[in-house]
Amino acid sequence: MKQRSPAMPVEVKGVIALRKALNAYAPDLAKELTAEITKSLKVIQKDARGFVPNKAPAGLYNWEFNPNRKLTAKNSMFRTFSSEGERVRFFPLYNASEIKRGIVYRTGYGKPNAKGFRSLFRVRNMSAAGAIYETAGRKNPAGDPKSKSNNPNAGARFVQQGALYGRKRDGQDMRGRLIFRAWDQDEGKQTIAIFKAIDVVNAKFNKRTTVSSSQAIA
Amino acid sequence: MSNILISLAAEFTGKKAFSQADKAAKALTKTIGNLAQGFGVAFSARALAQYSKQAVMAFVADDKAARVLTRTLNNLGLAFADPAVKTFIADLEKQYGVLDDQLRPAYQKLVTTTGDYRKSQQLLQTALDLSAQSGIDVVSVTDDIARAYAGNTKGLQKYGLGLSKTQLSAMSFAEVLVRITKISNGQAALAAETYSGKLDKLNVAAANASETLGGALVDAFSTIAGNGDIDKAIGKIDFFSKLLATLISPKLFEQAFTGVEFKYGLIPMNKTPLTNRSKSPAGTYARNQAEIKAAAAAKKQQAEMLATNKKTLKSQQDALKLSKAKAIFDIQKIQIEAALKGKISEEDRVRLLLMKAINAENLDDIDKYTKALDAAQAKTKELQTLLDAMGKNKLGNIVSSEFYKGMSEAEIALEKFKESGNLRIAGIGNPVTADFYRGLSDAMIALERFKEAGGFRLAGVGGQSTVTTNGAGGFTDAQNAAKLAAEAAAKAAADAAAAAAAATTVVVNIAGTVTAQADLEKAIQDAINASRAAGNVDALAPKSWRGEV
Repeated sequence: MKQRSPAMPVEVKGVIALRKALNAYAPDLAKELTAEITKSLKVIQKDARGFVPNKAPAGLYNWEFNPNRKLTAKNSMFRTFSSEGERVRFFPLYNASEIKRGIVYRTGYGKPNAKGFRSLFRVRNMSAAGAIYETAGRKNPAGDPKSKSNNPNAGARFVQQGALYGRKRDGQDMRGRLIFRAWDQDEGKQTIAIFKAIDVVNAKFNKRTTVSSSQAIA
Repeated sequence: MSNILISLAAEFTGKKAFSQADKAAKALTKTIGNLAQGFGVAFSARALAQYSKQAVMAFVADDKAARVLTRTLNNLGLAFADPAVKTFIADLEKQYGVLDDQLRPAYQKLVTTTGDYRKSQQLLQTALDLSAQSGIDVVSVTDDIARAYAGNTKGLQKYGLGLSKTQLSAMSFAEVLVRITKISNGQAALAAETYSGKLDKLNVAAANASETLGGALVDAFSTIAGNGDIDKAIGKIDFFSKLLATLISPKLFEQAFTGVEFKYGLIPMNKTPLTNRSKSPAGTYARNQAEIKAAAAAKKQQAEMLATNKKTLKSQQDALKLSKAKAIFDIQKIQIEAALKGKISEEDRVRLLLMKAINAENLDDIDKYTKALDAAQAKTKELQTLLDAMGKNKLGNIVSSEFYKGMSEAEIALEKFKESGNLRIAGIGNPVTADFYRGLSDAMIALERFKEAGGFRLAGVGGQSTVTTNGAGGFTDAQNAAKLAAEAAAKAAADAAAAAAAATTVVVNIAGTVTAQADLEKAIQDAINASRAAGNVDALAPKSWRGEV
């Protein structure tokens, strides 16, 4: 197993094969591994959800979701249109509960990315409003005067009211306010816990599959 | 859906996919290779199609260049020379192995500059020699030569002609051309005979074949050229390419038979080659007239160019003169006018006017006053020479001829006496007294002074001296002299006393201030009032004040 800095996503080898083997030959160990990984991911998920404010940041007029107000094309300033001028969907409004629901974890490996890597365990911020709150101000922390937005200084306002946590390294921007903050504050503890769990399960599996141990079991 | 995620661990799985893709690509290549082996003919056809495409491109480019040159000749009134120019370029191409792609633009540049197609041909030949000698491409060389023809020889410096920048600037184009010819003569022909030149010739032939055919039959050309006879190979290439082109193109097929005449409709006979010239007397006349006109135009163009160059040179020189003069006289500019108003000599006036003209950049005045100043300076120099000579040879010797002209001998003698410094006027005193009387006794000095006063006479002559008049008449000269000396001494004493008296200085000191009459009256009145107020009684006071009744 190869590890890099605990602050960065870790590249591992053989975990997919191990899990395949576990699923095929030791389903109980597979479940055990998944349970252990889930525990760690839940810690980050819980922390991230805890960072979601109940109200939208101040100064972002009408971004807050109001269940009593029916949002239409006429009364919303958050109308969005496609390049052809057709309306595509309403701009995502800030809804704390929806954002919290959108912070999830996944233990199954996903599709390979462009570089050929497959994510093994991950925490995601899936909601659109959550993604906005997570990353707003990363690109233009002082606002974007060239922006055609109604509020070109939104980036600066986000940064003023909620600092970005994490860091930018190796071409990856790992800064944010929810899951990245939780990840940053965890300082790699959960990653280590996950790899310990993998090691433990791997050892158990190896032990179980050796001849001597098989004989012992028999 | 947003893609905000943290991947706690990732595994590289792309390698397998990549290797699969790699294998697939290799398999595809192998398959294609097999297909190529299996369908070689088809691939040859494809290659031929590709070559044909290249050939069409080459032909189009060549055709365009030829048309541009033809149009240029037409515009310059040299349309009659178009066939000759084409032949010339084709010959040069074959002779020196330089592609017409280079020769045409080079020739075009020259003919545009000179306006003379024959001169341009000579210059192109020279440019080829210089190009072969220097290793610089013929288009660049031609460009430099064309510039030099127009008077800009800067570009020729890089060819190492052994001429300095100044020399190049000073020399005429004809002189520069002689130098170039002397240095580079025969270089192009020599270069064409080297292996490199032969290869160039082959390239030219190949390129021409490519233009004619659709090109790229390089393998075939190399086979043909294998026997080492390049010229023969070129001939074969030409023939081969034309033959193939004829087979391919109906148009070229038709063109190929334009040189053939079918006698009786069956027997092919060579047609007399066309010279593209009219055989009629009228056509010949028209052609000759066009040539004469073009030659005249070229001559006129050259004359205009020379005149322009001369004018430019003059203006540059003038500008240089002015800038130099300015640098000297700018500081005095303001003072010139003031100085001109003062009392100055004629030469100074000319100098000031010259400075003024320089400041005003008035070239006519500059010339005028420069000449005047030169003349004045020449005269000054002459005068200086004269004065120097006077110092050495005495004035009398130098000025006698002019100065004494028209004078009598007596006047001349008098003038010379004056020049000698011996002239004394009676009563004024003797300028040489100090030296002249040195060593003489008082009596002798008195005698001399008597002589100077004009009172000298021989004893017994009488009539002129008070001494003789008033005296007994029997006095000797010595006695007269003694008496006169005594009188002179007494007179001198009296004069001295009178002078001393006359020299008394009277100093008048005036104290107090000067005031106006009204002020004075007021002051007096104030003083009287003050006196009376103090109890004093003055003469003008009322009688009662004075105790009078």
